[in-house]
Amino acid sequence: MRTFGEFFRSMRAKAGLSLREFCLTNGFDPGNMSRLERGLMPAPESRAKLEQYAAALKIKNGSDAWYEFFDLAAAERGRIPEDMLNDEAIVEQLPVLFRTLRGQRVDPKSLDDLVERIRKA
Amino acid sequence: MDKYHPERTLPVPVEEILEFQCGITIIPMPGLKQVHEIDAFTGKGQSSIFIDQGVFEQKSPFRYRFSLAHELGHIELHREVQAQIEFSTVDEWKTALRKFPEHQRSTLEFQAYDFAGLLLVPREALKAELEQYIKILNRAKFDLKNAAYTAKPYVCTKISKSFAVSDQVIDRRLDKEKLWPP
Repeated sequence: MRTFGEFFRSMRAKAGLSLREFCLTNGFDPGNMSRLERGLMPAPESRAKLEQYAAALKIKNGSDAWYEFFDLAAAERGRIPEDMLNDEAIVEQLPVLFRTLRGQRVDPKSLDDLVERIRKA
Repeated sequence: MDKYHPERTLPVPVEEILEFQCGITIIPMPGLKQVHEIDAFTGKGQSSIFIDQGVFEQKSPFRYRFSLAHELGHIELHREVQAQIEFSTVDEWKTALRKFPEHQRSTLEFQAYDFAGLLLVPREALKAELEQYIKILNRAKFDLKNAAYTAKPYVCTKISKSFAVSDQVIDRRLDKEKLWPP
């Protein structure tokens, strides 16, 4: 069974809305939207908020997708998402090819901060 | 382009290509640029691109689009290089970064930069756009032969809008493709 976040992302893709367009058009916080889609933030409990998301995703009221959207949100109720990536997951997200805007390597002392930011993103 | 955007419409929808065709997750990250002076990077697993949230939210999408295209360059061109750099802990990652030769890193960065330019500003489309503005300048009896470099900023600004990139990207693409002076 799909998670709420996976379904959310699939509906956004179906509507042909990139994350940037979706967030800027509707005034949604991009960090929260990204976390919601990745399952790092729970589905909102507020019916009004869910309806706002459903409308932004162009889900037609009363359609199968509409019911699935609300069912998946209800199924997640009470779930406490892991708010940080575990060590195994973080290794997959560590970059190899990256440099600063001035073309320099990232200072080794800053790498720990970068890891923490990835963990919380 | 044949693989990702055979329709060849402009501007090239790089964000949609990444998200919907490549299945890559774009993750806005606050402070990435301010603290680390980094616009964007791709995780080793190549399933996510982290991008500075300020760049993500900028009104003009030019920088955002170029950063994504640059990262797609690393994903497309440097998959094998990245796979060879093995680490399974954060400490091993730090060691691997330290050992990675600087000259190789520079080469790979330039390649990703060129890839981004080619993806967002394909030669044929650039040529077609350029011809339009050369016609306009000719109609205005502008002396292109002797003052081509005076007209270049004007042309770059005009063309950049069609491709949704900065003037500087067009400037470099014109040089790279030897399309200027016309």
